[in-house]
Amino acid sequence: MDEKIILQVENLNKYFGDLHVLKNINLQVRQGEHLVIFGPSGSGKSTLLRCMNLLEEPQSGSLYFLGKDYGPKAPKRKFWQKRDGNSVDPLYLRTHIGMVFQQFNLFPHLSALDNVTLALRRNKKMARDAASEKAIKQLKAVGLGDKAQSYPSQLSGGQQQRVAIARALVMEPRLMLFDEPTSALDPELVGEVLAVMRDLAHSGMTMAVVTHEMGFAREVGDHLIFMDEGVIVEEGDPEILSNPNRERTKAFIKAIL
Amino acid sequence: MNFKFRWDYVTSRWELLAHGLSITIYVSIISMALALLLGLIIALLRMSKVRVISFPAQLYINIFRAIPLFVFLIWLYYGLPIMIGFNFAPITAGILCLSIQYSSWMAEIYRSGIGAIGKGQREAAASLGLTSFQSFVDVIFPQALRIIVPPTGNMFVGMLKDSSLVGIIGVFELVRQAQLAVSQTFRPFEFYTAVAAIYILLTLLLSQGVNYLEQRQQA
Repeated sequence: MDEKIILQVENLNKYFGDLHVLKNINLQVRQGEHLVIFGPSGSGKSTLLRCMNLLEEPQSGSLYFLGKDYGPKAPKRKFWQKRDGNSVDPLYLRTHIGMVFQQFNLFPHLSALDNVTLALRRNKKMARDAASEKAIKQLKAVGLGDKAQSYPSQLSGGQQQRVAIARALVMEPRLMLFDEPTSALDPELVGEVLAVMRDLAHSGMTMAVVTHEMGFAREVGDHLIFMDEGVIVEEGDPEILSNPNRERTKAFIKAIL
Repeated sequence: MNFKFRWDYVTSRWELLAHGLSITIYVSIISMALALLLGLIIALLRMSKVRVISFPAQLYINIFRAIPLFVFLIWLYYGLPIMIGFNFAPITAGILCLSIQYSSWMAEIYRSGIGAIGKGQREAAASLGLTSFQSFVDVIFPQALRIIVPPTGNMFVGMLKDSSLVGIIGVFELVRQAQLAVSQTFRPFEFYTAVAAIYILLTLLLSQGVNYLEQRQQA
Protein backbone atom coordinates (compact mmCIF):
# COMPACT_ATOMS: atom_id res chain seq x y z
CA MET A 1 0.00 0.00 0.00
CA ASP A 2 1.27 3.45 -0.81
CA GLU A 3 -1.22 5.51 1.16
CA LYS A 4 0.25 7.82 3.70
CA ILE A 5 0.74 6.45 7.18
CA ILE A 6 -0.88 8.92 9.57
CA LEU A 7 -0.06 7.19 12.79
CA GLN A 8 2.32 4.43 13.68
CA VAL A 9 2.70 2.66 17.00
CA GLU A 10 5.86 0.64 17.64
CA ASN A 11 6.53 -1.69 20.56
CA LEU A 12 4.43 0.47 22.82
CA ASN A 13 4.36 -0.35 26.54
CA LYS A 14 2.30 1.31 29.20
CA TYR A 15 2.21 0.59 32.91
CA PHE A 16 -0.10 1.84 35.63
CA GLY A 17 2.17 1.23 38.61
CA ASP A 18 2.94 -2.47 38.46
CA LEU A 19 0.09 -3.18 36.08
CA HIS A 20 1.30 -3.78 32.53
CA VAL A 21 -1.68 -2.48 30.51
CA LEU A 22 -0.20 -2.31 27.01
CA LYS A 23 2.28 -4.96 25.98
CA ASN A 24 4.42 -4.34 22.90
CA ILE A 25 1.68 -2.88 20.75
CA ASN A 26 2.41 -2.42 17.04
CA LEU A 27 -0.02 -0.91 14.58
CA GLN A 28 -0.41 1.54 11.74
CA VAL A 29 -3.23 3.84 10.77
CA ARG A 30 -3.21 4.84 7.12
CA GLN A 31 -4.85 7.88 5.64
CA GLY A 32 -8.59 7.37 5.22
CA GLU A 33 -8.52 4.18 7.20
CA HIS A 34 -11.18 3.34 9.79
CA LEU A 35 -9.53 1.47 12.60
CA VAL A 36 -11.88 -0.21 15.06
CA ILE A 37 -10.50 -1.48 18.36
CA PHE A 38 -12.68 -3.86 20.34
CA GLY A 39 -12.28 -6.23 23.22
CA PRO A 40 -13.37 -6.81 26.83
CA SER A 41 -13.14 -4.03 29.41
CA GLY A 42 -9.71 -3.78 30.95
CA SER A 43 -8.08 -5.00 27.77
CA GLY A 44 -6.23 -1.69 27.32
CA LYS A 45 -8.11 -0.47 24.25
CA SER A 46 -9.03 2.92 25.71
CA THR A 47 -5.54 3.33 27.11
CA LEU A 48 -4.08 2.64 23.69
CA LEU A 49 -6.32 5.30 22.17
CA ARG A 50 -5.40 7.76 24.92
CA CYS A 51 -1.71 7.14 24.30
CA MET A 52 -2.22 8.25 20.71
CA ASN A 53 -2.78 11.88 21.77
CA LEU A 54 -0.65 11.59 24.90
CA LEU A 55 -3.50 11.86 27.41
CA GLU A 56 -1.63 8.85 28.77
CA GLU A 57 2.14 8.75 28.56
CA PRO A 58 3.54 5.39 27.55
CA GLN A 59 6.76 4.24 29.20
CA SER A 60 8.51 2.72 26.21
CA GLY A 61 8.18 2.28 22.47
CA SER A 62 7.56 4.83 19.75
CA LEU A 63 4.64 6.78 18.39
CA TYR A 64 4.89 8.45 15.00
CA PHE A 65 2.52 11.10 13.67
CA LEU A 66 3.13 11.65 9.93
CA GLY A 67 6.54 10.09 10.40
CA LYS A 68 7.62 12.18 13.37
CA ASP A 69 8.33 10.44 16.65
CA TYR A 70 6.44 11.82 19.63
CA GLY A 71 6.73 8.82 21.92
CA PRO A 72 8.76 8.51 25.11
CA LYS A 73 12.04 8.42 23.15
CA ALA A 74 11.37 11.65 21.26
CA PRO A 75 13.32 14.68 22.52
CA LYS A 76 11.11 16.80 24.76
CA ARG A 77 10.83 20.46 24.00
CA LYS A 78 12.11 22.44 26.95
CA PHE A 79 9.81 25.23 28.05
CA TRP A 80 12.28 27.90 26.98
CA GLN A 81 12.63 26.45 23.48
CA LYS A 82 10.41 27.69 20.71
CA ARG A 83 8.00 25.32 19.06
CA ASP A 84 9.28 24.34 15.62
CA GLY A 85 8.04 22.01 12.95
CA ASN A 86 10.56 19.31 13.78
CA SER A 87 9.51 18.33 17.24
CA VAL A 88 5.99 17.05 17.82
CA ASP A 89 4.85 18.27 21.19
CA PRO A 90 1.47 17.45 22.72
CA LEU A 91 -0.10 20.78 21.79
CA TYR A 92 0.85 20.47 18.14
CA LEU A 93 -0.28 16.87 18.11
CA ARG A 94 -3.66 17.59 19.67
CA THR A 95 -4.52 20.32 17.21
CA HIS A 96 -4.19 17.66 14.50
CA ILE A 97 -5.76 14.73 16.32
CA GLY A 98 -9.34 15.17 17.50
CA MET A 99 -10.85 13.17 20.31
CA VAL A 100 -14.39 12.25 21.35
CA PHE A 101 -14.96 10.90 24.85
CA GLN A 102 -17.38 8.40 26.30
CA GLN A 103 -18.79 11.01 28.71
CA PHE A 104 -18.84 13.76 26.01
CA ASN A 105 -16.96 16.15 28.33
CA LEU A 106 -18.61 19.23 26.91
CA PHE A 107 -17.88 22.43 28.79
CA PRO A 108 -21.13 22.97 30.74
CA HIS A 109 -20.62 26.71 31.25
CA LEU A 110 -20.39 27.38 27.50
CA SER A 111 -23.08 27.22 24.82
CA ALA A 112 -22.80 24.60 22.11
CA LEU A 113 -21.43 27.29 19.83
CA ASP A 114 -18.77 28.41 22.32
CA ASN A 115 -17.80 24.82 22.98
CA VAL A 116 -17.02 24.52 19.30
CA THR A 117 -15.32 27.92 18.90
CA LEU A 118 -13.13 27.81 22.01
CA ALA A 119 -10.19 25.97 20.47
CA LEU A 120 -10.44 28.01 17.26
CA ARG A 121 -10.24 31.26 19.20
CA ARG A 122 -7.55 30.19 21.66
CA ASN A 123 -5.45 27.80 19.67
CA LYS A 124 -5.82 29.08 16.12
CA LYS A 125 -6.28 32.69 17.30
CA MET A 126 -9.33 33.17 15.10
CA ALA A 127 -11.60 36.18 15.63
CA ARG A 128 -14.93 35.41 17.24
CA ASP A 129 -16.96 36.11 14.09
CA ALA A 130 -14.88 33.92 11.84
CA ALA A 131 -14.79 31.16 14.44
CA SER A 132 -18.58 31.32 14.93
CA GLU A 133 -19.19 31.09 11.21
CA LYS A 134 -17.00 28.02 10.97
CA ALA A 135 -18.57 26.50 14.08
CA ILE A 136 -22.12 27.00 12.82
CA LYS A 137 -21.21 25.17 9.63
CA GLN A 138 -19.80 22.32 11.67
CA LEU A 139 -22.85 22.19 13.94
CA LYS A 140 -25.08 22.05 10.85
CA ALA A 141 -23.00 19.17 9.55
CA VAL A 142 -23.86 17.14 12.67
CA GLY A 143 -27.52 18.20 12.40
CA LEU A 144 -27.50 20.73 15.25
CA GLY A 145 -27.55 24.06 13.43
CA ASP A 146 -30.53 25.13 15.53
CA LYS A 147 -28.90 24.26 18.87
CA ALA A 148 -25.95 26.65 18.68
CA GLN A 149 -27.15 28.78 21.59
CA SER A 150 -28.19 25.83 23.79
CA TYR A 151 -26.16 24.83 26.81
CA PRO A 152 -25.07 21.21 27.22
CA SER A 153 -27.56 20.68 30.08
CA GLN A 154 -30.38 21.55 27.65
CA LEU A 155 -29.32 18.89 25.15
CA SER A 156 -29.93 15.15 25.08
CA GLY A 157 -26.97 12.79 25.40
CA GLY A 158 -26.97 12.14 21.68
CA GLN A 159 -27.02 15.84 20.90
CA GLN A 160 -24.22 16.48 23.39
CA GLN A 161 -22.07 13.84 21.79
CA ARG A 162 -22.71 15.33 18.35
CA VAL A 163 -21.64 18.75 19.66
CA ALA A 164 -18.51 17.06 21.02
CA ILE A 165 -17.84 15.58 17.59
CA ALA A 166 -18.32 19.02 15.99
CA ARG A 167 -15.98 20.52 18.58
CA ALA A 168 -13.23 18.11 17.55
CA LEU A 169 -13.93 18.29 13.81
CA VAL A 170 -13.85 22.08 13.61
CA MET A 171 -10.08 21.93 14.13
CA GLU A 172 -9.82 20.00 10.85
CA PRO A 173 -7.89 17.11 12.37
CA ARG A 174 -5.97 14.54 10.34
CA LEU A 175 -7.15 11.79 12.64
CA MET A 176 -10.20 11.40 14.88
CA LEU A 177 -10.12 9.26 18.01
CA PHE A 178 -13.41 7.95 19.39
CA ASP A 179 -13.32 6.46 22.88
CA GLU A 180 -16.53 4.41 23.26
CA PRO A 181 -18.60 7.33 21.94
CA THR A 182 -21.96 5.62 22.38
CA SER A 183 -21.42 3.69 25.60
CA ALA A 184 -22.93 6.37 27.86
CA LEU A 185 -26.02 6.89 25.70
CA ASP A 186 -29.58 5.66 26.04
CA PRO A 187 -30.14 2.93 23.44
CA GLU A 188 -32.47 5.03 21.30
CA LEU A 189 -29.88 7.82 21.05
CA VAL A 190 -27.04 5.61 19.84
CA GLY A 191 -28.26 5.66 16.24
CA GLU A 192 -27.97 9.42 15.70
CA VAL A 193 -24.35 9.46 16.90
CA LEU A 194 -23.40 6.44 14.80
CA ALA A 195 -25.04 8.11 11.78
CA VAL A 196 -22.80 11.15 12.20
CA MET A 197 -19.75 8.91 12.53
CA ARG A 198 -20.79 6.95 9.45
CA ASP A 199 -21.07 10.16 7.42
CA LEU A 200 -17.68 11.21 8.67
CA ALA A 201 -16.18 7.88 7.64
CA HIS A 202 -17.70 8.17 4.17
CA SER A 203 -16.25 11.66 3.81
CA GLY A 204 -12.82 10.09 4.06
CA MET A 205 -11.81 11.04 7.59
CA THR A 206 -9.15 8.84 9.16
CA MET A 207 -10.63 7.37 12.33
CA ALA A 208 -9.66 5.19 15.26
CA VAL A 209 -12.70 3.98 17.16
CA VAL A 210 -12.95 2.03 20.39
CA THR A 211 -16.45 0.59 20.46
CA HIS A 212 -18.73 -2.26 21.40
CA GLU A 213 -21.01 -1.55 18.42
CA MET A 214 -20.21 -4.57 16.29
CA GLY A 215 -22.68 -3.55 13.58
CA PHE A 216 -20.82 -0.29 13.16
CA ALA A 217 -17.46 -2.10 13.23
CA ARG A 218 -18.55 -4.44 10.47
CA GLU A 219 -20.05 -1.73 8.30
CA VAL A 220 -17.56 1.12 8.68
CA GLY A 221 -14.39 -0.54 9.94
CA ASP A 222 -11.79 -1.59 7.43
CA HIS A 223 -9.04 -2.38 9.94
CA LEU A 224 -10.17 -4.22 13.03
CA ILE A 225 -8.15 -4.99 16.13
CA PHE A 226 -9.21 -7.31 18.90
CA MET A 227 -7.40 -6.67 22.18
CA ASP A 228 -7.27 -8.67 25.37
CA GLU A 229 -5.08 -8.23 28.45
CA GLY A 230 -2.96 -5.55 26.82
CA VAL A 231 -2.05 -7.37 23.64
CA ILE A 232 -3.42 -7.35 20.10
CA VAL A 233 -4.90 -10.83 19.82
CA GLU A 234 -6.19 -10.55 16.29
CA GLU A 235 -6.07 -7.98 13.52
CA GLY A 236 -7.67 -7.87 10.08
CA ASP A 237 -10.64 -6.75 8.00
CA PRO A 238 -14.29 -7.10 9.17
CA GLU A 239 -14.09 -10.75 8.14
CA ILE A 240 -12.53 -11.49 11.55
CA LEU A 241 -15.93 -10.78 13.10
CA SER A 242 -17.50 -13.61 11.12
CA ASN A 243 -14.55 -15.97 11.01
CA PRO A 244 -12.23 -15.25 13.91
CA ASN A 245 -8.98 -17.21 13.89
CA ARG A 246 -8.27 -17.14 17.60
CA GLU A 247 -10.28 -18.92 20.26
CA ARG A 248 -10.25 -15.79 22.48
CA THR A 249 -11.78 -13.67 19.70
CA LYS A 250 -14.37 -16.33 18.98
CA ALA A 251 -15.38 -16.49 22.64
CA PHE A 252 -15.64 -12.70 22.91
CA ILE A 253 -17.74 -12.27 19.77
CA LYS A 254 -19.99 -15.12 20.80
CA ALA A 255 -20.48 -13.55 24.22
CA ILE A 256 -21.50 -10.11 22.98
CA LEU A 257 -23.71 -11.07 20.01
CA MET B 1 -36.90 50.51 85.45
CA ASN B 2 -36.65 54.07 84.43
CA PHE B 3 -34.10 53.69 81.62
CA LYS B 4 -34.88 55.88 78.69
CA PHE B 5 -33.52 55.02 75.29
CA ARG B 6 -31.92 58.28 74.12
CA TRP B 7 -31.55 57.96 70.39
CA ASP B 8 -30.63 61.64 70.10
CA TYR B 9 -27.16 60.92 71.54
CA VAL B 10 -26.47 58.75 68.52
CA THR B 11 -27.98 61.08 65.94
CA SER B 12 -26.03 64.04 67.30
CA ARG B 13 -22.77 62.10 66.86
CA TRP B 14 -23.59 60.39 63.58
CA GLU B 15 -20.49 61.80 61.91
CA LEU B 16 -18.34 59.85 64.32
CA LEU B 17 -20.03 56.60 63.36
CA ALA B 18 -20.10 57.48 59.66
CA HIS B 19 -16.35 57.97 59.74
CA GLY B 20 -15.91 54.63 61.50
CA LEU B 21 -18.17 52.97 58.98
CA SER B 22 -16.14 54.30 56.08
CA ILE B 23 -12.96 52.88 57.66
CA THR B 24 -14.67 49.53 58.27
CA ILE B 25 -15.78 49.33 54.64
CA TYR B 26 -12.40 50.46 53.36
CA VAL B 27 -10.45 47.94 55.46
CA SER B 28 -12.86 45.10 54.59
CA ILE B 29 -12.84 45.69 50.85
CA ILE B 30 -9.07 46.12 50.55
CA SER B 31 -8.41 43.10 52.77
CA MET B 32 -10.93 40.96 50.90
CA ALA B 33 -9.48 41.92 47.53
CA LEU B 34 -5.99 41.02 48.74
CA ALA B 35 -7.27 37.79 50.29
CA LEU B 36 -8.96 36.80 47.01
CA LEU B 37 -5.76 37.37 45.06
CA LEU B 38 -3.36 35.91 47.61
CA GLY B 39 -5.69 32.97 48.27
CA LEU B 40 -5.76 32.04 44.58
CA ILE B 41 -1.98 32.11 44.35
CA ILE B 42 -1.63 30.00 47.51
CA ALA B 43 -4.27 27.55 46.24
CA LEU B 44 -2.47 27.09 42.93
CA LEU B 45 0.86 26.54 44.69
CA ARG B 46 -0.84 24.16 47.12
CA MET B 47 -2.18 22.07 44.21
CA SER B 48 1.21 21.76 42.55
CA LYS B 49 2.44 18.20 42.12
CA VAL B 50 5.93 19.43 42.99
CA ARG B 51 6.31 18.98 46.73
CA VAL B 52 8.86 21.78 47.14
CA ILE B 53 6.13 24.15 45.92
CA SER B 54 3.05 22.63 47.53
CA PHE B 55 4.57 22.12 50.99
CA PRO B 56 5.29 25.80 51.80
CA ALA B 57 1.77 26.66 50.65
CA GLN B 58 0.34 23.98 52.91
CA LEU B 59 2.43 25.33 55.79
CA TYR B 60 1.18 28.87 55.10
CA ILE B 61 -2.44 27.69 55.21
CA ASN B 62 -2.01 25.66 58.38
CA ILE B 63 -0.22 28.43 60.25
CA PHE B 64 -2.31 31.45 59.31
CA ARG B 65 -5.72 29.90 59.61
CA ALA B 66 -4.85 28.63 63.07
CA ILE B 67 -3.74 31.89 64.70
CA PRO B 68 -6.56 33.81 66.41
CA LEU B 69 -6.88 37.16 64.68
CA PHE B 70 -6.58 38.98 68.02
CA VAL B 71 -3.22 37.33 68.69
CA PHE B 72 -2.05 37.86 65.12
CA LEU B 73 -2.84 41.60 65.26
CA ILE B 74 -0.98 42.14 68.51
CA TRP B 75 1.92 40.00 67.37
CA LEU B 76 2.30 41.83 64.08
CA TYR B 77 1.67 45.36 65.36
CA TYR B 78 3.36 45.33 68.75
CA GLY B 79 5.64 42.30 68.56
CA LEU B 80 7.21 42.21 65.15
CA PRO B 81 8.50 45.84 65.16
CA ILE B 82 10.59 45.04 68.24
CA MET B 83 12.35 42.31 66.29
CA ILE B 84 12.74 43.93 62.90
CA GLY B 85 12.78 47.57 63.97
CA PHE B 86 10.12 48.57 61.49
CA ASN B 87 6.73 49.99 62.40
CA PHE B 88 3.57 49.44 60.42
CA ALA B 89 0.86 52.06 60.39
CA PRO B 90 -2.11 50.60 62.34
CA ILE B 91 -4.27 50.40 59.25
CA THR B 92 -1.51 48.66 57.25
CA ALA B 93 -0.98 46.13 60.01
CA GLY B 94 -4.75 45.55 60.22
CA ILE B 95 -5.14 45.01 56.49
CA LEU B 96 -2.09 42.73 56.43
CA CYS B 97 -3.43 40.52 59.23
CA LEU B 98 -6.93 40.31 57.81
CA SER B 99 -5.82 39.59 54.26
CA ILE B 100 -3.23 37.00 55.29
CA GLN B 101 -5.64 35.18 57.57
CA TYR B 102 -8.49 35.25 55.06
CA SER B 103 -6.20 34.23 52.19
CA SER B 104 -5.48 30.97 54.03
CA TRP B 105 -9.22 30.25 54.20
CA MET B 106 -9.81 31.43 50.65
CA ALA B 107 -7.03 29.13 49.44
CA GLU B 108 -8.94 26.14 50.78
CA ILE B 109 -12.19 27.39 49.22
CA TYR B 110 -10.48 27.83 45.86
CA ARG B 111 -8.86 24.45 46.17
CA SER B 112 -12.09 22.60 46.85
CA GLY B 113 -13.83 24.48 44.01
CA ILE B 114 -11.11 23.77 41.50
CA GLY B 115 -10.76 20.19 42.73
CA ALA B 116 -14.47 19.58 42.19
CA ILE B 117 -14.15 20.03 38.42
CA GLY B 118 -13.83 16.59 36.88
CA LYS B 119 -10.74 15.24 35.17
CA GLY B 120 -12.78 14.87 31.96
CA GLN B 121 -12.96 18.65 31.58
CA ARG B 122 -9.18 18.98 31.76
CA GLU B 123 -8.78 16.13 29.29
CA ALA B 124 -11.28 17.60 26.86
CA ALA B 125 -9.48 20.94 26.97
CA ALA B 126 -6.13 19.22 26.51
CA SER B 127 -7.45 17.14 23.61
CA LEU B 128 -8.35 20.37 21.80
CA GLY B 129 -4.76 21.55 22.04
CA LEU B 130 -5.31 24.15 24.76
CA THR B 131 -2.35 24.92 27.00
CA SER B 132 -2.79 24.20 30.69
CA PHE B 133 -3.05 27.95 31.31
CA GLN B 134 -5.81 28.32 28.69
CA SER B 135 -7.52 25.26 30.10
CA PHE B 136 -7.51 26.82 33.59
CA VAL B 137 -8.71 30.25 32.48
CA ASP B 138 -11.37 29.17 29.97
CA VAL B 139 -12.58 25.83 31.27
CA ILE B 140 -11.70 25.02 34.87
CA PHE B 141 -11.86 28.35 36.70
CA PRO B 142 -15.22 29.60 35.31
CA GLN B 143 -16.81 26.34 36.47
CA ALA B 144 -15.04 26.42 39.83
CA LEU B 145 -16.30 29.98 40.33
CA ARG B 146 -19.89 28.74 40.65
CA ILE B 147 -18.80 26.60 43.57
CA ILE B 148 -16.59 29.29 45.07
CA VAL B 149 -19.02 32.23 45.13
CA PRO B 150 -21.36 31.21 48.03
CA PRO B 151 -18.63 30.40 50.59
CA THR B 152 -16.73 33.51 49.50
CA GLY B 153 -19.81 35.57 50.34
CA ASN B 154 -19.68 34.09 53.85
CA MET B 155 -16.01 34.99 54.05
CA PHE B 156 -16.83 38.58 53.17
CA VAL B 157 -19.46 38.75 55.92
CA GLY B 158 -16.90 37.33 58.34
CA MET B 159 -14.39 39.90 57.14
CA LEU B 160 -16.76 42.79 57.88
CA LYS B 161 -17.19 41.63 61.44
CA ASP B 162 -13.57 40.63 62.03
CA SER B 163 -12.47 44.06 60.84
CA SER B 164 -13.85 45.37 64.14
CA LEU B 165 -10.88 43.68 65.84
CA VAL B 166 -8.38 46.00 64.19
CA GLY B 167 -9.70 48.65 66.60
CA ILE B 168 -7.42 47.12 69.26
CA ILE B 169 -4.33 48.33 67.41
CA GLY B 170 -5.77 51.82 67.01
CA VAL B 171 -7.59 51.80 63.71
CA PHE B 172 -10.64 54.00 64.08
CA GLU B 173 -13.18 51.72 62.54
CA LEU B 174 -16.85 51.54 63.46
CA VAL B 175 -16.61 49.80 66.84
CA ARG B 176 -13.65 51.86 67.97
CA GLN B 177 -15.51 55.06 67.07
CA ALA B 178 -18.51 53.83 69.00
CA GLN B 179 -16.31 53.24 72.04
CA LEU B 180 -15.07 56.78 71.70
CA ALA B 181 -18.63 58.08 71.57
CA VAL B 182 -19.56 55.99 74.61
CA SER B 183 -16.66 57.42 76.60
CA GLN B 184 -17.97 60.89 75.85
CA THR B 185 -21.66 60.23 76.50
CA PHE B 186 -21.86 57.17 78.79
CA ARG B 187 -24.63 55.78 76.56
CA PRO B 188 -23.20 52.35 75.59
CA PHE B 189 -26.58 50.74 74.96
CA GLU B 190 -27.64 53.28 72.36
CA PHE B 191 -24.34 53.29 70.49
CA TYR B 192 -23.86 49.54 70.42
CA THR B 193 -27.44 49.11 69.24
CA ALA B 194 -26.66 51.47 66.39
CA VAL B 195 -23.45 49.60 65.60
CA ALA B 196 -25.26 46.25 65.59
CA ALA B 197 -27.93 47.67 63.28
CA ILE B 198 -25.28 48.94 60.89
CA TYR B 199 -23.58 45.52 60.74
CA ILE B 200 -26.91 43.81 60.13
CA LEU B 201 -27.64 46.22 57.31
CA LEU B 202 -24.20 45.72 55.75
CA THR B 203 -24.53 41.95 55.92
CA LEU B 204 -27.98 42.06 54.33
CA LEU B 205 -26.69 44.20 51.50
CA LEU B 206 -23.77 41.87 50.98
CA SER B 207 -25.88 38.71 50.91
CA GLN B 208 -28.17 40.40 48.37
CA GLY B 209 -25.09 40.96 46.22
CA VAL B 210 -24.03 37.32 46.57
CA ASN B 211 -27.56 36.13 45.72
CA TYR B 212 -27.49 38.27 42.63
CA LEU B 213 -24.16 36.79 41.54
CA GLU B 214 -25.40 33.25 42.14
CA GLN B 215 -28.57 33.81 40.15
CA ARG B 216 -26.70 35.40 37.29
CA GLN B 217 -24.46 32.34 37.09
CA GLN B 218 -27.36 29.96 36.92
CA ALA B 219 -28.93 31.79 33.99
